[in-house]
Order: sequence, then structure tokens, then C-alpha cells
Amino acid sequence: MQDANISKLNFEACQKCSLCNEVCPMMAANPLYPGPKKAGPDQERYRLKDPEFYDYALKYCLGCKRCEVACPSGVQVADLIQKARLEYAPASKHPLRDAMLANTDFVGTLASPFAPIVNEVLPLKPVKAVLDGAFGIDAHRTFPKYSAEKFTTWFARHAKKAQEGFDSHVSYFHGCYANYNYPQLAKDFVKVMNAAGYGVHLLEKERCCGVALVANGFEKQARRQAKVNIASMGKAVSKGEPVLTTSSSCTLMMGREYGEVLGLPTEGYRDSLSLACKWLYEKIESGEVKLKFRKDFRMKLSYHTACHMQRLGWQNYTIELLRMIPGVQLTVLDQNCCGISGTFGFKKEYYPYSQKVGSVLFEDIRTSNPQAVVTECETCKWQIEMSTGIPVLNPISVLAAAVE
Amino acid sequence: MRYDAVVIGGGRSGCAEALRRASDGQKVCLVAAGLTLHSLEPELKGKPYSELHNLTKAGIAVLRGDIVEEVLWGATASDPVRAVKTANGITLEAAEYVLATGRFFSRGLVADMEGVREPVFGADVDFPEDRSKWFDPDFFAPQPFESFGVKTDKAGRILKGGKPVENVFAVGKILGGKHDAGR
Repeated sequence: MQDANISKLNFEACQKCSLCNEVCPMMAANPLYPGPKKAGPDQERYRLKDPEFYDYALKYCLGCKRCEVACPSGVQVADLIQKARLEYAPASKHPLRDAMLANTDFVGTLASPFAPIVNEVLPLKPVKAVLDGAFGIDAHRTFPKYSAEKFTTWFARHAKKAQEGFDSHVSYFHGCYANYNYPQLAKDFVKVMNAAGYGVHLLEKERCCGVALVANGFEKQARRQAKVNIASMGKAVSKGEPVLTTSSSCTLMMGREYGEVLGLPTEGYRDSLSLACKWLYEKIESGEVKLKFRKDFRMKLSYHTACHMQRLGWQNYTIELLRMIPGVQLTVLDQNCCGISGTFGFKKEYYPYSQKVGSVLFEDIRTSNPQAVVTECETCKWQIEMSTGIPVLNPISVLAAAVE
Repeated sequence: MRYDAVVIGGGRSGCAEALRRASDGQKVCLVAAGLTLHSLEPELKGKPYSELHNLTKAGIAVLRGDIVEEVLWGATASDPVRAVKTANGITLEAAEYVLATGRFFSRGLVADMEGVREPVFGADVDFPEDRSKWFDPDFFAPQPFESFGVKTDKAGRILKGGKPVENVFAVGKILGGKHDAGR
């Protein structure tokens, strides 16, 4: 009986304890942001009454989901805010920029063939000034480099055949970043999986998971791409293969947000979708997989729990996996947001907030003084590398360097 | 993941129990529905609670924003618990489990039309059948429902169907018979 009176995102359960406000990184950096409690459950009551009550300041929400982790009552605070933005937010002042930032597949396909030129041109001062002035992309921001050879091209040419030599297989969702910008990560994934005794299949069709599309308000397109991914993942799962990823944000998007925010069915693949580190740890623990590590491997690392990784709650798998590598000296950093929040930190009007939010983490990283920071999130990587100058690695790349 | 002990509940009792076990050298995992105590009650940041800041420093694996959704029992219902599964899809195996989920406000106990139940392990709960005895109409009087809680044996193990579950203990407010009104 009571179930019928409770909304899907559970905002009635809010006890007004304000724990979400306590952990909100944007609220601490920006007095214009009303905080997750007000922006989420409080204002939802008003919005349901009249969309006029939509608060423009919701645009400051990073979507880090720390409020959801903090909530003891299970209110989906960040989903409430995200859904309100999709439904009521006024049109962007920079529609072209937002579309360029959000359409990672389109821009990646366009940029890859011209990667050497794009990589040279983008960091030039006059180009940055134009992007800043005309597009609203902050001139301080460093763009990730594009790769001349996409991962999928490399895989088809050099790795695909060898994968059929394995008895068991995993399916890999590489994501846009590993495909267009940093194929080394995907190559490392193939290396680690092969070392573990598994062959790698790619999904039949893969589109960008759509996390940036949703954040920028392109709901329809996000739903279109999600349907393609859902169908492909469902096919892989029906073959008995787990779907593994190397990016925490893609995993959260596909495993959770497809259902919660976009309202699509996720049952077909949800339980088989996992981050590579979680899957590996579970296989090692059950004794099905043994990884042999190099004896001469030495590295001082600091682990940064990306916000979406914390929402997934799987950071302990990565931490324990890294601790298995002899020669790794690991510091686990306090859980602070880096501030970039995907495309948010690229935008001129948000850049100062982005850096202010991240300042606590940057200081922590400098104090721990590692050879490299380890995190699953690619946008954290851009932000940390740009702001501290310390290289950032995906844990899979660390494993790839450490296995024999 | 395997631990010596899994503590369910990140309040005062859960944090204290996790820290005690960690200082005894046990490998401990703490499951907290929201944040853990030290972040929850800023006024406790001074002594003598300062050690609560250091859950992770004490080597405790803290799962924030996660709850136990499923219990994997042994072959028969009275057998010890083999593992618990959380909402985030994490399977935790341990030699001992500690229930520290508190009372009604934190949903350690749930009251509905059927009665009062403990939702994680389904432990026996101590409460009168007669609903009128649950409360005192005098708002300021000590309320009987505040002393509801799970039944345990002398070693602190929870009872289920009248029999103790070998490896599940209860601590804190969820224990029956305690009364802290007027505290």
C-alpha cells in the first residue's frame, strides 16, 4: 500500500539531515549552488507543482553523486537533479560547444585521421584564444591528445586473430577515450586478460556510453546510443561472456543510469557488467586466475577514488589488486573530487569552480609525492595531470606493466 | 572479498566494534548505509572519539553508501552465515558478522502491519503482540517501543527461530531491553 505513495527516486525518504550538503564539493566551492538537499528532494516538491520553480543554479551540479553515497535513507539525490535538468533546464548559451564536447564518437572519428595536426594545433595559444572567446572553452584547459590509430583498428589488425586461441573469452567495452585518445589503455587490457588466460572480444556494436550527452542535456541521443549498447551487451552476455570495462564512469552510466535516469531495461546485462579490476580480483580470489608478476617491478603509487567509482563502491577491489603486486608502494588518498566532472571543467564559466573543487585533492597528491596517481576515471586523469603535472595511470596499465 | 569480520552499520557501535576488532589484528570490513560516524557527527571530532577518524588508517575496509541486501546461509537455516551480498554487488565472506544497524530511525528494525522485524538476518525481535503495549499515550513518558530489539544468547549471538546463529553477533541500540529515553 505504502509503495504506491513513494516516488521512484525516493525523495519522500529525505530526513533533512543535510549529510549530502556536508559532502557536496560544489557547495563548498560555490555559494551560488544551493546544495544537493535543496536542489534535489526539497525543490522536487515545488517542481512537481510548477516547472516555473526550476532553479537555474542546478547547472552547477557536478553529477559526482557523492550525495547519494552519503544519504543514509537511499534518496537518489543526484538522479533527481539530473532528471530535473533534462526536463526543465533552459537552452544552453553555447549549444555548439556543448554538442562538440558531448559527441565524443563524432568528434573522435573526425579528429583521429588528422591526429598529428589536431594535437599540434589545439595547444596553440591563438587557437585556445579562439576556442575561449567564440566557443566558451576555457583557455587554461589542456585537451587530451588524439591517437592516429584507433584502438578498434589496431585490434582488428594485430590482436583479433590471437584471441581465438583462448578457450574462454570476455567482452570488452573500451569506451571513447581508449578508442580515440589513449589506445594504450585498451592494449594493456588485452595484455592483462591474455595473461589471465582469457581472450578478448569486442562488442558487436559500441557507441559512447552517453554520460557526457546526459550531462549536457542531449537525452534523445543518449537514449539512442544506449539502446545500441544494451543490445550489444545483451548479445555478449547470452554467449556467456562477462562485459568488462576500464572506465568507472562508463560502467556507472551503463549499469545504473540507463535504468535510473533514462528508464531503459538493464536486466539483460546488468549483473554481468563489471570493471576489469573487480572481475579480476574475484577470479583471483576464487583461484580461477593466477597472475604472475615481475620480481623487479617497483613503483610508488597513490590511488584516487574517482567520484563515480565511489558511487559504484568497488574501489576496494582495485586497492586490493594493486596491493597484490610485489614492489608497489600504495597510498590511498582521501576521497575528494578532482572537480573536472567530464565536460564541466572545460567550460569557461565553470573552470574556476572546477579548479577550486580540485585544490584539496591536488594538495593531497603533491604531499604523497607518487611516481604516478592511479584512478579508473579518464577525466580525472586529464584534470590531475594538468593541475599537478604528475602522470595518471589506469590500474589496468599498472597491472600490464607488472605482469610477466 | 574475505575478511575476519564484517560489521554491518556505521554508527557509534559499528565503528567502535570495527575499531576494536581491527586493533586486535582482525581484517575488518565495515558496511555503512551512508557516511560513517566521524563524518556524521562533527561535534564528536574531539577527544575521546578522535580515533574514529581513523577507520581507514586502522586498516578497515569501509563500504560507504552500501547496505547488505542478501544473506547467503549455510545448508540449513540454523547453519552459520556463509556470506553477505551488498546492494553494490559485493560479496563479503567472513568468519564473524556483527549486526550494528541500530533501531527504527536507521531501519535496523522495521515495524509494519505484521509486527516488528529485523530486515538483514531476520533475527527474532523482542516485542509484545498487543499493539497497544507498544507505546505510552503520554508523549513524554519512556516509550516501550524504544526497548524493542533483537534477541541474543549470553554470548551476544542473535537468535533466529529461537536458536542462536553461530557467527552473527549484535551490538548497540539494536539489542533488546535497553532503554535510553531521558538520556
